[in-house]
Amino acid sequence: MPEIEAEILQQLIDAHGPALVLYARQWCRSPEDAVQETWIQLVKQSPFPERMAAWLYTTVRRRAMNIARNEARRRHHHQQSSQMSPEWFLPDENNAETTDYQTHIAKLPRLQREILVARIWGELSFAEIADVVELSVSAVHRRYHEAIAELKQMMLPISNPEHNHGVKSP
Amino acid sequence: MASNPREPSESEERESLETQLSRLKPAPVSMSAADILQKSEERDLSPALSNRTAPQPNWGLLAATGLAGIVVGVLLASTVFMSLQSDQPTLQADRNEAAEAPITRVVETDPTTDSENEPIAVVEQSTPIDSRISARLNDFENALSNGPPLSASSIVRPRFASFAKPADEIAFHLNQPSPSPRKANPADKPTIGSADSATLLLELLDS
Repeated sequence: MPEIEAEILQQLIDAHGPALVLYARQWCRSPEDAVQETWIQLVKQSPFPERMAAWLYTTVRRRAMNIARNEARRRHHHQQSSQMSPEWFLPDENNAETTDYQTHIAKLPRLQREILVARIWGELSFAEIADVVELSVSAVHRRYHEAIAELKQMMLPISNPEHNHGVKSP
Repeated sequence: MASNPREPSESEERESLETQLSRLKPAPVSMSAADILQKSEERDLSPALSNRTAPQPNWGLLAATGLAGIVVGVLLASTVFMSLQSDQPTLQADRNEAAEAPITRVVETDPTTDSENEPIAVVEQSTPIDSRISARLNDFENALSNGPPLSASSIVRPRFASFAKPADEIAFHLNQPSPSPRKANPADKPTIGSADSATLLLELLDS
């Protein structure tokens, strides 16, 4: 007998599903499996988790790590998993740089990527992220700003074309 | 009045980047609550799929196997016991025969001997060879008591009598000169192999 109703579950899937898949994608090549296993675990969960978002991200993180570990046994190019994965974001007509964002985010260290995704697309608070990644709030805050700073450096040639040419020739 | 364009602060730049990032929408996923619930129910119905740990042992099969092993063991033990029981009269007869035989032989051969303590030894002593040895020993004792005193080295065990050669042959070998004769020492006592002991031996054999 499921503990959760289908309607509530569907709302949770619609609200957190895409961001959770993006979050799981930071570890493994089959993030949908990690997220699906998380939903199934949520159905059987008793009692119902109080902090739903943090619980979802924590569970997805653990599942994705397990899947990544199994994937690493089967192939040796595990480090290229994030680069070789399909599109992370929906194509945006108003923003032609979607692919560039994905490429730059993929270049970030994994912990910074994880915190960035949880903060921007998962909309978790820094305290919740700290619980998920098992770090202090200040450490999470610092890593997040480091990720933004690095992304900004990587995005400069795109957002400021003049900067791309460097010193102007006389 | 034209105002100077203000350089965006670091926090403003960060917020701008965050805004740009937040505009990106993660790729949608094709998951429905109905599918999740169905998969959950399927796993409840088949615990072996949902529970990916090591399979639990089949206790019923283990118990049946153990019981069958016990039954086979009991059958084997009973078979062996029955076969032993069927051979028991023969074995008992053999045992009785073996137990009675020495007594009968002892009584027949040497009724004066204490057959209850050492029946086998008595039988061994009653062989003709031992009788000869006993006779020789008696002769030797008589010679010792009647003849001159002997040194300990001149005593010859009676078993030599069984392998005794003709007297003249022994004398021939004993009188042969050795390859490197050593000087005779008057202090030497007669030993086995010397002329005195040989003479004594010959006398004993002839007596």
